[in-house]
Amino acid sequence: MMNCAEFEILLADFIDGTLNAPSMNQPLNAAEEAKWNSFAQHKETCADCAALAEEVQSALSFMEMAAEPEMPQPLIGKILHATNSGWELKRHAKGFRGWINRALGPILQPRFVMGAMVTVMSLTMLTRCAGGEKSMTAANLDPVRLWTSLDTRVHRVWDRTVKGYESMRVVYEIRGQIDEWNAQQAANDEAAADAKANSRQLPESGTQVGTQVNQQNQDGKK
Amino acid sequence: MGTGTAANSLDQDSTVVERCLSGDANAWEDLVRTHTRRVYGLCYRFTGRDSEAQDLTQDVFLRVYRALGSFRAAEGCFTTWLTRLTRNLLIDHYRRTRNQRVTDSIEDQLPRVEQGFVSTHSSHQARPDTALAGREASEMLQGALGRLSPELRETIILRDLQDMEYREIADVLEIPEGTVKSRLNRGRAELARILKKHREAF
Repeated sequence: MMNCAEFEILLADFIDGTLNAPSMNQPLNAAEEAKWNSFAQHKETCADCAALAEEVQSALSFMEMAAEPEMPQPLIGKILHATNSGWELKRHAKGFRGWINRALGPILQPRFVMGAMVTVMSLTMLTRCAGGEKSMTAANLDPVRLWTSLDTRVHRVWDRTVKGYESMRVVYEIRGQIDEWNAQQAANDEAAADAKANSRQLPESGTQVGTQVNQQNQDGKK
Repeated sequence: MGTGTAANSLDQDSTVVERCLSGDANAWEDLVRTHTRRVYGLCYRFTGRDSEAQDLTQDVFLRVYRALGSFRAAEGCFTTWLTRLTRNLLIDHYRRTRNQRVTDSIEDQLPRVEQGFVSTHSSHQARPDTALAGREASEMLQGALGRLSPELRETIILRDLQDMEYREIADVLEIPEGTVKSRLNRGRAELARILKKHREAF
């Protein structure tokens, strides 16, 4: 006699069409027929399994109605874009080419290049702080020496800044004074030029003066 | 589905994977174009959200991209390998987002099923368009799938919505074929009960 667990397994076969009732078109061998009979008999005698079979059929019918979810078209482009460097694929290559790619792959990554650049910059700055000597030795990296050198450099930079600021003030003062002198000089030159021009300007005023003098002479004769 | 077609597809996949492994970028594009729809369908049916499904599909292909070298054609077909990888990622995602889902599942999942039922009921009377009815049935199915346990859900998705063989499902889930069949029956019955319950409610 078949139990419910065995029925469940055969139910899946029945749904898939691999377990069928004997028919004229499809005769069964003895083992298959016995299996079918047990299945059919259990279904008739066990109400729970009969209900299960009905529910399973109902769910399958509903799922056949359901459409496949629509895939957004840009998704393929996004995936290809995210995997466009090609380095990982090249690393899978067999032989010497694959070996070279596997060896260089980790080095030729953008992150690694960025890291290397930052390291070089840091070392350059460190070298400058250590005194900018051409031949670096382990002694140059002594923390006390580094600190002293850095302190000296900071003071130098500060002094230069203060000195530069004060020099700039003096320069501006001198330049202001020169500008003032230049302006004064220009005003004097202009006044002199005006005076010179006035002294040569005789025509109209000269005639008037001459007329006045002639009139005075005539008045005196009278 | 004929055995010949399956074997052809298997051969094609193996060839494309071989080309990828020799560093051919075009082969990689072919592989992505062939399998994205299937992976997206799997992710969408499992999560029920388009944005999550898209992110997970991208994650799957990034993982494939990095791990393609570990694929062995002799050990099984590419589709099974890809499905196993997708399934593992989905289960990881499910575990990671469990807490968040517990808080929103009651408010979020139920209305989706109900909404599906309402729209399907109205569609039976007013819309004879089969494509539209198919989409609505799909939404309703999605809501019902969301209420199944992950074990039953993944088995139903792989068998009934992805048309995979029992042997392949057993390989992917690493369980015996008998257990696959048993889970399928329980999952289908549970699905039918959820659908019936809501049909009666509306």
